[in-house]
Amino acid sequence: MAPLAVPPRPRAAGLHRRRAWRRFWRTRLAVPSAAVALLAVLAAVGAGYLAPGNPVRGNLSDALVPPSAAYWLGTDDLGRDELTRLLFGARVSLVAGLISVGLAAAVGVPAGLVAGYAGALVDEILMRLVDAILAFPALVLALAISAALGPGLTSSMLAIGFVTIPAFARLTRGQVLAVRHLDFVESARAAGAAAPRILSVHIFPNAVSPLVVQGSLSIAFAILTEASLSFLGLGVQPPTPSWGSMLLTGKNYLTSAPWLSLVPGAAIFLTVMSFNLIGDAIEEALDPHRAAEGRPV
Amino acid sequence: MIPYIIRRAVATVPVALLVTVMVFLLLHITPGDPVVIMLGEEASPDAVAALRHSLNLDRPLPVQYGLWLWRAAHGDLGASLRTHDPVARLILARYPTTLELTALAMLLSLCIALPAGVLSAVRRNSWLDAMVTPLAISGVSMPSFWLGILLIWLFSVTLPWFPTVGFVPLRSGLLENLHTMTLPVMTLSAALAALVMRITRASLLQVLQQDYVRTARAKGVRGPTVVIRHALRTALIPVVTVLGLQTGTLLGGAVIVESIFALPGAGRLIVDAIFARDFPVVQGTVLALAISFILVNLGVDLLYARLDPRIRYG
Repeated sequence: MAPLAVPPRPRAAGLHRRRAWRRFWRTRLAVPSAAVALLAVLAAVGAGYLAPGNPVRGNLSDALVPPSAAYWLGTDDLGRDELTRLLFGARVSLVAGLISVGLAAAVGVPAGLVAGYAGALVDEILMRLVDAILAFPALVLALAISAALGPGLTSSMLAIGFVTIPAFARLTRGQVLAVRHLDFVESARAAGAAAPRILSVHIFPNAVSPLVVQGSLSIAFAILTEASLSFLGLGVQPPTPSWGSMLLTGKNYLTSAPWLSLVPGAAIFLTVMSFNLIGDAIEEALDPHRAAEGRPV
Repeated sequence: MIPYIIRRAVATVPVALLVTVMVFLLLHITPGDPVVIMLGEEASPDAVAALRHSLNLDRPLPVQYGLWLWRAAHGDLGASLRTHDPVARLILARYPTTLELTALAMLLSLCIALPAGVLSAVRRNSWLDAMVTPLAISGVSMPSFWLGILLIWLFSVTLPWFPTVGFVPLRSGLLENLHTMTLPVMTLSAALAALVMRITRASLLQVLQQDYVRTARAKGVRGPTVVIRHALRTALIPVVTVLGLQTGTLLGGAVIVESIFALPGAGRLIVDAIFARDFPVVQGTVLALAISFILVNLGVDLLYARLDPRIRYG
C-alpha cells in the first residue's frame, strides 16, 4: 500500500511539466498573449522609469494635444501625458488583478478543500454560501460592496476578490471530490496521515493545474471588473490614473480627442484578452486530450 | 416533472434567504456610522437619530434583519432618502427598461451566435471557423464600456445614424424605442454572443461525434437534417445553461450600458443611488436584481429538465 501514497516521482512530474511547457508554447497565440501580458507587467513595474512625464500633474496650456513627437499618445483635458498615465494605469490594473485573485484563492481554495474533504454538513453550509454569492450578478455585487466600503482601490480589490471566491471554491471542491476516494488518498488515510496533511500533500497537488488556469482567467475578469468600477467612478479615485477612469474622462471628449478613449480601452482589451488566451493555452497544454476532442475555441 | 419543480423551488429558498442576509449586511459593512454617511457630516444629531430610528438601526441586528425581511417580503423596501419615494415603486418604474435591454441583448446574441456556432462546427477548419475563433475571444475580452464608446463614436458621431444618449419608452412608439435601444443592445450583446458561439461550436462538435448521429448518417439522413433535427437539440443543453448563468453578466453589464447611454433602468438607479448615498435604494435594487437572477436560473433548471429528461430522474 505504501508506494501508492507517494505522489508522482519527481522525475516523472518534471517530465510532465516540461512536456506541458513545450505544448504551451506551441499553442496558437500563446507567444503573442504572453508578450502582451509581459509588456503590461513591464509597464506596471517600470512605470516610474519609463514614463516621460508626471501621471498626476499636467500643463493646462497643453490640454487635449493630439498624439505628436512630444506627446506620443497625446494629452488629456488637464494637459497630462496620456502615455505616462497609461503606464501608471497598468500598475493599478495589474495590482488589482493579482491581489483580488490572490484574496479569492486564499479564501476559496481552503474552503473548497475543506468542503470537498469533510462533506456532509460542512460541505452543505460552505456550498450554500458559495451559491448565495453566485446568486448575485457579479458586477452588481462588486458595485454594492465597493459602495458600502467607500470608493477606492482597496475596496475594489476586496469586492472583486469576494465575488471571485466561488470560482476557486467550486473548482477546488470538484477536484477534491474527484480524487478523495482514489487509492493514493485512501492509503495515506490508512497509513494514519492527518486530514491537513492528506489535503495539502496528496489532494491539493492534483488541483493545482486547473487552479492555475482559473487564476489566469480570473485575473482577466478582475482587471475588467476593476476597470468597470473605475469607469463608473467607484474604483481608483482621481488624480491617480487607472485605465477605467481614463476612459471615463475620454468619453467626455469623444469628438475633440478620440485618442483619450481609444488608448486606455485598447490597453484594457489587449491585457484582458492576453490573460484569457494564456488561461486557454495553459488548459490546452495541461489537457491536450480535451483539446483534441474539440474544446471551445 | 412536478416533483422536480418542487424540489428545485425548495432548494432555492435557503439561497434566497442567504442573499437577503448579504444584502441586509451591506449597510453594516460600511466603515463608520452608516446614518452619518448617508446624511453627511453636517447633519444635525436629531436628524441622525430620526433616520437611525426609521431604519430600525437602533435595534439589535437580528431584530433589524427580521423587520427588514418581513417588510421586503411584503413589497416594502423602504423609502428613498433623496426623493422619499417608495423604493419598490422606483424599481418598478425602472425595471422594464432593464428587462427590455437584457431581453433584446439576449435575443440579438442568439440570432448571431447560434447560426455562427453551428456553421463553424459543421464546417470545422474552414475560413468561417477560423474567423469565429478570434471573434469569440475578442468578444469575451472586450470591455462593454469601451465597445459602447466605440459604437457611439462610429454610429452617432461619425455617422449620425443613432442618438448618442437618450431613451424613448416602448409606449411612445416601437420604432422610436428600438432606434434608441440599438446601440445599447449591440454593446450588451457582444460578450454573450461570443460566449454562446464558443459553446455552441464546442457542444455541437462533441454531439456530432456521437453514435446516434453516425447512425442517422449511415441510414442516409441528409447533413442539414442530422444537424437540425438530431444533433442540435442535445447540443443546445449547455447553451441553455450558459444563457441562464450569463443573465447575471447581462444584468451587471446593464449597469454599465445604462450609464453610458443614459438609459433610465435599474442599473443606472443603483449607480445614481450610490453617489447620492441613498442606501435603501441601493439595497432594494441589488436585492431585486439578485432575486430576478435566482428566478431566471430556476427557470433555466426547469427548461434544462425539459430538454434532457434524464435530469428529472437523476
